[in-house]
Amino acid sequence: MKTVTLTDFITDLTQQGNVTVNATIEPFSEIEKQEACQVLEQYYATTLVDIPHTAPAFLPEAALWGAMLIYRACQSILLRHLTESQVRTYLLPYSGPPSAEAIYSIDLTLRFLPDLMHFAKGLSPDDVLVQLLRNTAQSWPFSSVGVDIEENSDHTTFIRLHPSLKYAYVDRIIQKRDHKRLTHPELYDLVKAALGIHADRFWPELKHVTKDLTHIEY
Amino acid sequence: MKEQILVFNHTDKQTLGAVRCIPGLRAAENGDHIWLRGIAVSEKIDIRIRQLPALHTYFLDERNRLFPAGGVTPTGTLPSLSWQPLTTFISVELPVSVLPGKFQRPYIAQLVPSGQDKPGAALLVSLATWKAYAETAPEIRLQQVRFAVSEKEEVFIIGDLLPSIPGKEYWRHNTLLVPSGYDFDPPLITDIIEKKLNPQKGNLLVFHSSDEWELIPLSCFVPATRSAIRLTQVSHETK
Repeated sequence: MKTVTLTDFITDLTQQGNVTVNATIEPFSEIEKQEACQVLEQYYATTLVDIPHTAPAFLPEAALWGAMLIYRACQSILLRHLTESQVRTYLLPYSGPPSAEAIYSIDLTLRFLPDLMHFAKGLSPDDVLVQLLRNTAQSWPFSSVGVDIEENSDHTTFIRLHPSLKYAYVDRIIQKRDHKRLTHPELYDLVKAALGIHADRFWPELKHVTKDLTHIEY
Repeated sequence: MKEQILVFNHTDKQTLGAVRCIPGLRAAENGDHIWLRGIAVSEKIDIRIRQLPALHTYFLDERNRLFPAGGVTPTGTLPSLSWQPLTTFISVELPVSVLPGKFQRPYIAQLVPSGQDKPGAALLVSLATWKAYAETAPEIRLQQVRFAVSEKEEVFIIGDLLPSIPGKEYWRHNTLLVPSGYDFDPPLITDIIEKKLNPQKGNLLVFHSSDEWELIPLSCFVPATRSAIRLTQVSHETK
C-alpha cells in the first residue's frame, strides 16, 4: 500500500478536502518535514489574496505543528486501538510563543479542525482524543470558530490587534453565526458594522445578543 | 301557411345586416337574388323585417309552394338552395381605422430628471475605490454583488445590496440600468428600448446621464471575491 506522506496529506487536505492517512503511525522524517514546510508555504502564498489586509508572516515551525497535529488527529480517529498515552504523545500542544504569525500559520491546516471535530462526534465525549481536540480548539480560537469554547483572551487579543486576523475573524464569526465569539466590545462593533442595516437579513438572531453578552434574550 | 319568404336583389345584401341578429332567419344565394326564410307568419312580424327592400314576398305552405302576398294561386315552389344562418351569411368586418396613417417622424427617447425614488441596483466606481474597499470589506457583503471592470479603470458593481462607497448609482429595469434620479421620457419606453437594443437579454444596457449608452455582456460580471478583485487589478496593471 502506498505510504501517505505529510506532504501528500497537506496537498489533499488543502486542494480537495479529502485525505488518506497511513494505517500505522511512523515518525515524520526530517526530509518529510522540510518538504511539508515548502508545501505549506506555497499554500500560505495562495491564501494571501483572500484574506483581508496583509496576512501575518509565515512561521514554518507553527505551520508544520498544525499540519502534523491534524494528520495525527485523523489517524487517532481511525486507529481506535491507540492507547490514551499514545494519543497524548501524538497530539502535543504547540510549544512556541503565541503570536499573530503563529495563529495564521497554524490556521493553514487547523482551519479544518471544526470539520474534524464533527467527524469525531461519534466518539465518547470522555474520549481523550475528543478532549485533546477540544483543548486545541480552545487554544486556537481563530481556527475553531463554530466550536463552543470558553473565551481565550490571550489569543483573542492577538487577533484583535492584527488588522488582517481581526477582519478575517469577524468574517468567520458571521459565516458560522457564532455569537459566543463576540467576547470583546470591539468584535461586537465590527460584526454590527459589517452587517450594517442588513443585520436582520444576514443574522436575525444577533438582535438578541447584547454588547456585553450577558443578556441573551431568546 | 307556415312561413314568409322574401326575395332581394343581391345589391341589397348589406341591408340584411339590420336583421342579422333576429334568431331563426336563414338566407341563400340564387343567381342575382338573395332569398330569406324563417319568418313565422303566426307571429307579428318584426318591424325591422318589414322595412327590408324586398323584391318579392311569398308565403310558403306545407308542400313548399310559393304564394304571392294576397294571392290564392301558387306561382312556384321553393327552389332547393344552400341555406345558411344569417349570422354566417353576413359575416362581421372590423371597421377601418379613422387614422390609418403611420407616424413617420422618429421619436428621440431621452433621460430626464425624475423625482421617483427607485432602489439602486448597480454602482459605477473607480478601480482604486473598489480595491480599497475590498481590502477590509466584510466577506458577507462581497458575496452579495458581482462586478466587471472596464479599460477606463471603472468598475460596474451589480447586486441588490450595494457597498457603501462613493460612486454613481443606477436603478434597474430588467436589463436596463438608468442613473438614479433619472428616468426615460416617456417612462414606458424602457420596454421598447430593451426589445430593440437587447432582444436576447444577454447584456446589461447601461445608460449614462450624458446620453451615452453601452452594452455590457452579463458574462463579464464575476463574483466579488477578495481574490478576484485583487487579481483583476494585477492583470489590469500588467496590460
